[in-house]
Amino acid sequence: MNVRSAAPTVKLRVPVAKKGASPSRDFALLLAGRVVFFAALFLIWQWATTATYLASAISTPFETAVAFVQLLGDPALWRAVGLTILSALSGLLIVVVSGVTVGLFLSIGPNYYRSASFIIDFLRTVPGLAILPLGILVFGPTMRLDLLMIVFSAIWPVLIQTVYAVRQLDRELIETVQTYRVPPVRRFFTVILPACAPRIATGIRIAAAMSLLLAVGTQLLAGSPGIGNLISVYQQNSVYPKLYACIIMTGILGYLFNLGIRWVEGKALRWHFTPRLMAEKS
Amino acid sequence: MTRRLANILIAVWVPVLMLATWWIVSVSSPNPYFPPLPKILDRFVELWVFDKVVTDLLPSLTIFGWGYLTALVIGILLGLLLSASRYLEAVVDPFLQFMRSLPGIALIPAFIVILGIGIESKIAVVALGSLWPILLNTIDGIRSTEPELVRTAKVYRVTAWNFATRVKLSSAAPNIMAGARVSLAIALVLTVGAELYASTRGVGHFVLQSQQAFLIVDMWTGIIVLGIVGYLLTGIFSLLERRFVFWTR
Repeated sequence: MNVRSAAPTVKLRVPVAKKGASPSRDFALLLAGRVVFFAALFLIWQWATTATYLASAISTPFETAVAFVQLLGDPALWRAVGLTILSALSGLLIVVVSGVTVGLFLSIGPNYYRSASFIIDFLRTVPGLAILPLGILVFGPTMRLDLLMIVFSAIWPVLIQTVYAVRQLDRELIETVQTYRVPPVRRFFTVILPACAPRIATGIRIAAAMSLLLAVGTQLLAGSPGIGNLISVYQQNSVYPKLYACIIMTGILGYLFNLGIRWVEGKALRWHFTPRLMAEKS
Repeated sequence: MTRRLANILIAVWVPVLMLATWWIVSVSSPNPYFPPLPKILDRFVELWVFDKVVTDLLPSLTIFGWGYLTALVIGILLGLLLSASRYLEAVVDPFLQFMRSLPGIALIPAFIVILGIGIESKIAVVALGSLWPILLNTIDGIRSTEPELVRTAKVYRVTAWNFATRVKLSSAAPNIMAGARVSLAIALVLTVGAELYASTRGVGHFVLQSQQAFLIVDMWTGIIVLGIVGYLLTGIFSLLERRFVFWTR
């Protein structure tokens, strides 16, 4: 966003290392700050469990930590985690393949997208979970239900970003390819698709986050196998330490999942022209 | 004149075709889960014009409204605070990233346990779940305020309040709007989700209840209501967004 103008540079107040400063000292300060912050959070949590009526509803940090360790040794948890990841990734795969295909199809000509735009705009604003009761009737609490929910909600970012990517293609690029009379199929795979890749990747990143969210949500609400189902079970049986430990585990799962997707994206787009990639990373 | 007509036709033919197909297929095939569209529409008018709007839709909108508003206010205020100090922002960042990746839906059981089955727990879930995109985008947006603007404001000795609102918030507005848009979708999903999990009122609860009582037509009307509400709310947001950030267009 910051355009470095060609005007003569003014001396900016760039943060220059002060005398005696060092990277390791800065890192130590940061680490100390974070430790203090998390300690404060734990203290507030501990205080909350002893004060007032919350005592029966929240487990203490210690109890939760114990439950967390117990969970780590429980094969049922790992099975649930595996199923959740499987659901999310399968759903994501279906979404990417169908979303990109339809997106490319709609980019053939301006009237293609215009025809579909009302349906797309309407369906993407429907809260995905609205379909859940219907889905339960049709599919029952199975992984297929997860996949249905994921596809219904997460296909739109991919689709829209694909259309947007094709629309934003560099005019010069297309004209160059036409000038050299590159045959259509080759043109598509070696020029157009790679040029669209970064924007499509952004859509896939959004869809990935939604996939995990919907997988966990469907498991929680409908009881399909996975970590969301575990959370629901612990809550209904009032096993609070395990409940909170499970929620924290889900958070960690979400964090690692997003990290993984970004890593794959980085690897896949590594060949791409970097400045353009930096500008598109949002 | 024909150009205008052609444009309308292009925009309209696919939805019309899909509705017609739905109508014909649902009327002719006896699938119990996909009742005839005319029946659904009749029942929709019976229920939702306008009796159930008060008893069911209003509670849902209340939950959504309060939750989303809270997320907006807290997100922007906290964003302003955190962006004032780079150190503070760096210290808190891992926590923010963790909370952002935590699926908000997973928090629903926790809040039901802590705050009970009433409306407070659901508002809390919606607020806490949709806070993060706004917060992170506010911080991002304020951090990328052009240094020229900051220095100009200092030279003119702009007051702290004015500086916060007119300089920082205004230049961060596009980012904040983008975050608010994502949060809107999340807030909607969380509202429906919270109602599906444990609730006594609301459209989500109505849909679930109808499904359990095998009143399939009623269930479908509920789904249609949710779709329309989602579409309208997003549309209203787009209108407001255009008004707030018109200078960037």
